[in-house]
Amino acid sequence: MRREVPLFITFVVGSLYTLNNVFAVKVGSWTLNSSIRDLNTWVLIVAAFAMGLASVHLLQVHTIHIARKRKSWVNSVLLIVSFVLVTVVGVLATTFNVKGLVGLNNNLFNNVQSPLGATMWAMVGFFICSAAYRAFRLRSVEAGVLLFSGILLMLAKAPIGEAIWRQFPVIGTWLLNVPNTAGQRAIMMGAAIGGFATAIRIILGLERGYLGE
Amino acid sequence: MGTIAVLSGILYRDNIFSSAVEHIFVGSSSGYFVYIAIKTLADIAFRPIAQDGKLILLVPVLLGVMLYSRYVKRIAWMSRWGTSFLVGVGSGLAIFASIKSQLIAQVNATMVPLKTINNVIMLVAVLSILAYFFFTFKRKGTAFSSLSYAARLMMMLTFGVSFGNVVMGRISLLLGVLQKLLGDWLGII
Amino acid sequence: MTWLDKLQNIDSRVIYWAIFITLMIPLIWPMGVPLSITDTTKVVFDLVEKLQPGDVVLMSLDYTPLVAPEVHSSAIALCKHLFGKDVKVIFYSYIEEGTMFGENIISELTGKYGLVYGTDVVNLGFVSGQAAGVRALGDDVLSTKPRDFRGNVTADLPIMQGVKTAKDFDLVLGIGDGLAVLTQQIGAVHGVTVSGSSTAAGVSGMMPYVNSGQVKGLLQGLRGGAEYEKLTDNPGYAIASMDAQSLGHLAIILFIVIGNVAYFMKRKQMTR
Repeated sequence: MRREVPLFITFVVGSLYTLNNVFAVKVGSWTLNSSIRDLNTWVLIVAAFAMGLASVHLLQVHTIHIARKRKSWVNSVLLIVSFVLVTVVGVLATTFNVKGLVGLNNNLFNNVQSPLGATMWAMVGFFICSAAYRAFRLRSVEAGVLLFSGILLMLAKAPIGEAIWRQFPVIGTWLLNVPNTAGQRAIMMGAAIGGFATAIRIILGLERGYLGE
Repeated sequence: MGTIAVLSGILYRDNIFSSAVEHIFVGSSSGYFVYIAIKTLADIAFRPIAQDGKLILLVPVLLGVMLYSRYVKRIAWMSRWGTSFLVGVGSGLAIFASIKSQLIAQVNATMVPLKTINNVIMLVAVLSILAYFFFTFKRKGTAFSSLSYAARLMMMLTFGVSFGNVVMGRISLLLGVLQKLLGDWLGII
Repeated sequence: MTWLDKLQNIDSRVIYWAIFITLMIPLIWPMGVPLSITDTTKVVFDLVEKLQPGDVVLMSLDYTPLVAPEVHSSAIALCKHLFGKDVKVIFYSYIEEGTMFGENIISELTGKYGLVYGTDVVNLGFVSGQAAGVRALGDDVLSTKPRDFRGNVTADLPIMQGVKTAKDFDLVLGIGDGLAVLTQQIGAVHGVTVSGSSTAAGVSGMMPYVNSGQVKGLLQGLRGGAEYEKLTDNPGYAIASMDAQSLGHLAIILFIVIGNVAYFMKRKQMTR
């Protein structure tokens, strides 16, 4: 039962959604489409519950850090404090509409989360420069093609590229519209066939990785 | 202050300030996800159940709560019910999305009249890259080996273009940080 | 260690500081390099130009603070164009943080365009479930979002009158990395015109959709935002960053060239 019921749920739900996309099923006044619309709300609810899973695990890990006074446990305290503050303020401001906290909620996002997130991800810009300098060596024809297409596109996308030579943007646009599109398209088509096959296998219960097996 | 702390971790070395700021960011992000999830549930589940009497919505609420049973070993098997529901929906939607938008539309766009050199390159490139990923037969000494080489070169072009775009994107993000630092904070620009 | 070895192994922090300074200089002393308009940006501009006062546009703000510096300027430029034409805009996001950017745009532009929340603009908020949520929104907007981000009942809002499914939107714009999902779950299902802005990293993956006509036009990263600001005569943050973007690219190319020159010279030395 512990394995069969989940497989049955996957089969029924997956089949209903697949059927709805292919046929307009109607029996008397009932239509499959109307049931799928009701089911959509169920999906949103279950997905919303799933959003909290990672946070629970995060809190678990950092609570253990604090309890066992592991190295830099103070950072774990900061993490939990910021988590609780943002959650409480956010819930009160948006779910219970406490007017006085709406401004604080916006401030926490605009002055803490947003700039910190942007800065952290922007650091990747530094790493990519260093990585490009170290890794891009003309060792073979393929490496050369990779390197030159990358450099040509960088020159095409930067306004100064057009100032240096007017054909750089033309070459860049061609690279993007023809070889890049062809390559991405072929990869996309292959992935689509693979995705389709995997989806069928999941619905039929042949693929059980999501059950932890 | 947080921006400078993170920058110092990169431009100089990891320090207690950059590490503290990283943890604050992770905590606030997780908190944000949780409060948005609570608000969503209040709007589409709890209010309809409590105010509009839509008791049928207790079923997905139960499925959602069961997801958290994974943290208790004895009843961890119950979390599979919610997971299988989400996976079933995802699979059902993926079939349509992958076939219509990623396969049929793309095949249509590839099969264009071979009147221009670009259309010829497009067709040859797509076919050769698709053929490249057939691993079920030998390619050495056949026409496929030269097609494979052409496919590899096309893929290198594709990845080179992707790299160029990624570099552009990351530089843009760095610029955003610098604009905030020099503009909003220091008032130089 | 010879000077060739040193050239091949420059300390990372030297590179970081070089990039940092290279980007700062044109921000403080702009160079004014001219900016041309790409075809894909022009297509988006023309699509918005064709809209009439009172038309309703769905804008999906699918970006996090991590990539906001790249695409938020595109969102602002598009909204300025739309509100300038008295087009109504409905924001939503299937990325959690996207909803707050909707609130930011509304508070930034309300004063300038005299927007009335609920009549000219609304922020529906977050839609859970990723692709399933987007599909649900396209099939039935009101039951997917019974309340907006500020807690108002969406069915009571004037802007939502006549909006039931995605077919009722005159244009659907995706900002960020969610354009592919929007195309698959709304564009392909309901046949609505889809366009928008993508992060630079996502541009190469979006080109097959643009080429096949599933997505009409595309604002490509920060440069796309700058081009749109120029087209709509609303200069902002994106245009101001283009000089620094140019020098940043040149700096990276220079480092790659230095590394390769040193590599080849070293190889020549070793074969002798």
